[in-house]
Amino acid sequence: MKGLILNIERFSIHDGPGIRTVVFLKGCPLRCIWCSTPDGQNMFPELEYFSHKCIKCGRCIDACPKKAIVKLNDEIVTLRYECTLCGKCVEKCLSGARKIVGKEMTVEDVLKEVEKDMVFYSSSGGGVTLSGGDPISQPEFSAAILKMCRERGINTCIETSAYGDWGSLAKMLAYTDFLYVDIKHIDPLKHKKFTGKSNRKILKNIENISKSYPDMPVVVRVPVVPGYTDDMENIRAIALFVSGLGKNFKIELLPYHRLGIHRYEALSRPYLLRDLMPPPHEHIKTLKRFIESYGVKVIMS
Amino acid sequence: MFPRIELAIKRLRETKPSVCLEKAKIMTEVFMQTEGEPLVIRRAKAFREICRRKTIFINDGELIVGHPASKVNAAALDPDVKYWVLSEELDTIHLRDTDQFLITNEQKKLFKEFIEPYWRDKSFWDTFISCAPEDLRQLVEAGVLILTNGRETPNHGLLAPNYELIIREGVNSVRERIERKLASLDLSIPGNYEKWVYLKALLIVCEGIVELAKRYALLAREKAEVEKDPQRREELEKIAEICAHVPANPARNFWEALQSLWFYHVCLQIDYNDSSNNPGRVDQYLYPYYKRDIEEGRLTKEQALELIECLFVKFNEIMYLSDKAYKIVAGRARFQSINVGGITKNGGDGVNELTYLMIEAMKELKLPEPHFGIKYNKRRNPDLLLIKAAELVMLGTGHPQFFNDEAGIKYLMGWGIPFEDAYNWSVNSCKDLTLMGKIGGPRIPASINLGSAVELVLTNGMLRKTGSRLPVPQTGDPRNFKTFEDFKKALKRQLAYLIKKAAELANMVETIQEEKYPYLVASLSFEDCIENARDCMAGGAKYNIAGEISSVGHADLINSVIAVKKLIYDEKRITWEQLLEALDKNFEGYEDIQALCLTAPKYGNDVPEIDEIAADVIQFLCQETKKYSGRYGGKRVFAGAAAAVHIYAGSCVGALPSGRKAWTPLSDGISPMQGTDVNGPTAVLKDASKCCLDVFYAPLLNMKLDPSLFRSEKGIQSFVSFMKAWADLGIYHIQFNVVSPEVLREAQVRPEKYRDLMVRVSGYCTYFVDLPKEIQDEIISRTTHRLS
Repeated sequence: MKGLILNIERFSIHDGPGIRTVVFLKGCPLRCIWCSTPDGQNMFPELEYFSHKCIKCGRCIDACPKKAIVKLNDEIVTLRYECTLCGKCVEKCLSGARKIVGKEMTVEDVLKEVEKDMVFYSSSGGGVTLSGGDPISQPEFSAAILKMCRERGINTCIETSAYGDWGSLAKMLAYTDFLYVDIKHIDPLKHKKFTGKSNRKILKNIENISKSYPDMPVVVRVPVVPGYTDDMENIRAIALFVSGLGKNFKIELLPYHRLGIHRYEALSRPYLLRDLMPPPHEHIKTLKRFIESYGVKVIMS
Repeated sequence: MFPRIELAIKRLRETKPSVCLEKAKIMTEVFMQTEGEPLVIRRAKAFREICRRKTIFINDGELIVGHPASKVNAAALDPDVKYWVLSEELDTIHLRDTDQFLITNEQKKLFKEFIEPYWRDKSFWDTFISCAPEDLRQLVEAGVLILTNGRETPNHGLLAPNYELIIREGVNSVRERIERKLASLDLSIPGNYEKWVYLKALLIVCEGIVELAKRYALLAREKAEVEKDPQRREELEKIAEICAHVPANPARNFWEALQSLWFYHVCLQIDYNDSSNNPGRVDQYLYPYYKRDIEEGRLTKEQALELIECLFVKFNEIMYLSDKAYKIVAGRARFQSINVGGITKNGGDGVNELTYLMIEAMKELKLPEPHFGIKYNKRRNPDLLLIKAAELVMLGTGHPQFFNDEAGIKYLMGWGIPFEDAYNWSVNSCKDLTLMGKIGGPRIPASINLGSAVELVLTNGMLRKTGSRLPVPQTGDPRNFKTFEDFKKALKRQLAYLIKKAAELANMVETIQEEKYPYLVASLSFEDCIENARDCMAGGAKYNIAGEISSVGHADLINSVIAVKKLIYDEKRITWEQLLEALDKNFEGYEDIQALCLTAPKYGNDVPEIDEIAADVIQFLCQETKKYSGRYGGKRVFAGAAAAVHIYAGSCVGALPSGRKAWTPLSDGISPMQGTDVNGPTAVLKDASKCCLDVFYAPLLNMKLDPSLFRSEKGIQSFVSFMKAWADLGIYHIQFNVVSPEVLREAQVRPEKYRDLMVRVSGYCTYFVDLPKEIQDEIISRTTHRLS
């Protein structure tokens, strides 16, 4: 079985217990406007072009069989609708400015990478984390990886939006030791406005998880995006919701950051929050105390 | 911070390093008066005379006293080893880019009129140049073979004398031991006269040591008499009492033990202004004194910490007069290695309260010396050791370096040393292994430049830097290598030849060492040296391990071989013609070929394609090295190079198929090529572990970590787990630089703001701003591992 992989990163310490290898899968059902990994959203390979690395040598222009790369006002521009992702320009690029993201891999390929750090998992209690994008967009593939990891004694973790049908989610959860799930906003309308989808399915799924997997450690991640998700009302409602789910649920606050902005440019996509600044640390601390007053444990990384 | 320590650090910072010619003057006088006497007697007499006449001083506030030269931060010139430093730089040594030394006009005059005329043509380097076979000389000048210690003596310290013996028994008891041995010598037996002379020389050295301490006792008493501050007066009286007792007699308490250790260290430094005298496992042999004092209520933990800090500061006051031409120890590194942790004689956990106090002291001082190593034994040492070590790592001073205790024991047992000795190994200089008072020298006589080896295959025996042909096998024009096997065969032929030459070089310099540079002060504490009446540089020690053949450019070699295999033979993306042309032009105008070379798989990323070739080449090197024996028996071992040899070595090597440009530094130890390890720190450890075969001796691994790792509890836990995996993987050594590249770049621009920024260059810590720009750039270019 094959899946589409964005990237595999080793020695991660913020995505579950211990030292972990994070497998980023391509494809996500949501389109959060603050998303920091836009290259993970689509379920197909894409060409990225980082202009700050480009030395404007023009080798890519000559290499393109479709003549889809042109020089305009001293800038290299790719006519994306002409591009067939043949990769010829990437091969010729000297500076690493051009790159195709999204690589087909078999479950075995993924496992081979994951197993490289076994010695670190056993010394730290770590393992594999499936992230993305969202593993829920490739449920069969994800479940197969998780199953194989579990057979080999590798601790498993997934990071998902939980937007999808319960069947798909349950397939993965059957082989999952640790779960991260997001609640971006408690209000279904605002959720739809900011992410493109209503949150009804998500909340329903989370409730189901609390019933079906009462022992699964779950961290509910809440992005703190100033002016979008960080109002007290939203935070209070999320805290209330999570407090009713069980002792195995915690909340992690993820302060908005801008580290993904250049990826939008690389994909020739607009970034809508260009002027938004990260929330002050004090604000996060206030929210943390506020949530804790509802009896929910809060993690900050 | 303790006020007296603050004062001492201020003194260190404010005193400009200077040259001291007292030793050179006295030694010259004594040598003039003793022409015709045996060398060991002349050296011993010179040593005793220096002890009698050198300037001595006690600094304000200090509790541990003694210095090998005439003032703080002064470096004594060893005229017999390196008078030429001043011959070459008499008028410019104070103007060097780095490692400057002040020198007065009076000193210049003394040097020119008295010291230089006597010693001219008598140094190790002079002997080497005048006696070396022509081809060896050429290979050394070309940087293909490297005298690991440059133009200095091949040993260069690199010993761990038995400080503990001096502390426990005292010099008087050593003297009695020598006298007993002398009395037992039957001079009618051939060879015994030599021994008699040697032991006589040791007796003279003992006198020198004892007299020096007595002078300090007198000075302390004099100072006490005029001291106005009653507390300081009491301290000075105490110092006088201590110096009157040690190191002649056994230390009676913790303070005396530290002072005794220090006196011995000072005497070793008087004997040779070496960069590496190694006190070894201080937390083990000082613990009984600490424990007894604490139990009997004579000492508090706080007082112990203050004394330890007083001792540690002193290591920084010693200066080493470096050779400008040979940048292996740029940044005033002195390699005085101390170790904590490890196991006890019975195989139990060696970590004790002193271990933690010493880590604490290193945290407070943030100074480059002593060279602080933690011997971590995963099976015995507690996690707390790693947590405390993490607190030190995160300060970004480059301390500590970590050594895998079990790997070290395995190396020594592989040499036939039984566990009862092997367990007690300590670090020699920057990363080598030794046994206190049991392993003699010289240890690192010769190195081979693996980058040059590749170059010589590509050029069919020509040195790119000069365009001249070297006396090495011509392995054929690479354009005629039909298969990858042909290339590999040529490479192996060249490597085998260079190893043989390195063994020749080692033999030669070891002989010079033995003949000209006995280590009398060090040999005093080698019980077997007294028993055998033979110097520790002449096979007198209990174990006389064959000097290693070190290597530099490990990753450059592997990456170059892989690039050739992949680009020319497997994928046929370029021809030999194209590659050779690009290399010849240092990739200028051939950026696409360089880019292609850089895309070939690189060592340090845990990609399986490399493993087989890397293992093949390393095993070949180790096997070849083993064919050669050491001067005192045993087989030579193939080792990773130490210190900053990779920078000098790189300056001798043109562009390589790995994508590395000409004259830039080679990779250091078994670290990946700078900036090419992109799969994170775990991948680096995995690849390093593949090199840590039992046969590849003591390789060194540097890694830079982003400081953010240490900002959370989870980060520290992860570091602890990371280190446990490191131990599991059997890697011998690792050390970390914890500074962000942004900070380093800023420090380049504004050095005045970053005076105290310390980094680990390669096997040693130093102030970043003290380093030449090329080395600074190199540090920045090493990949910083961020956490995702």
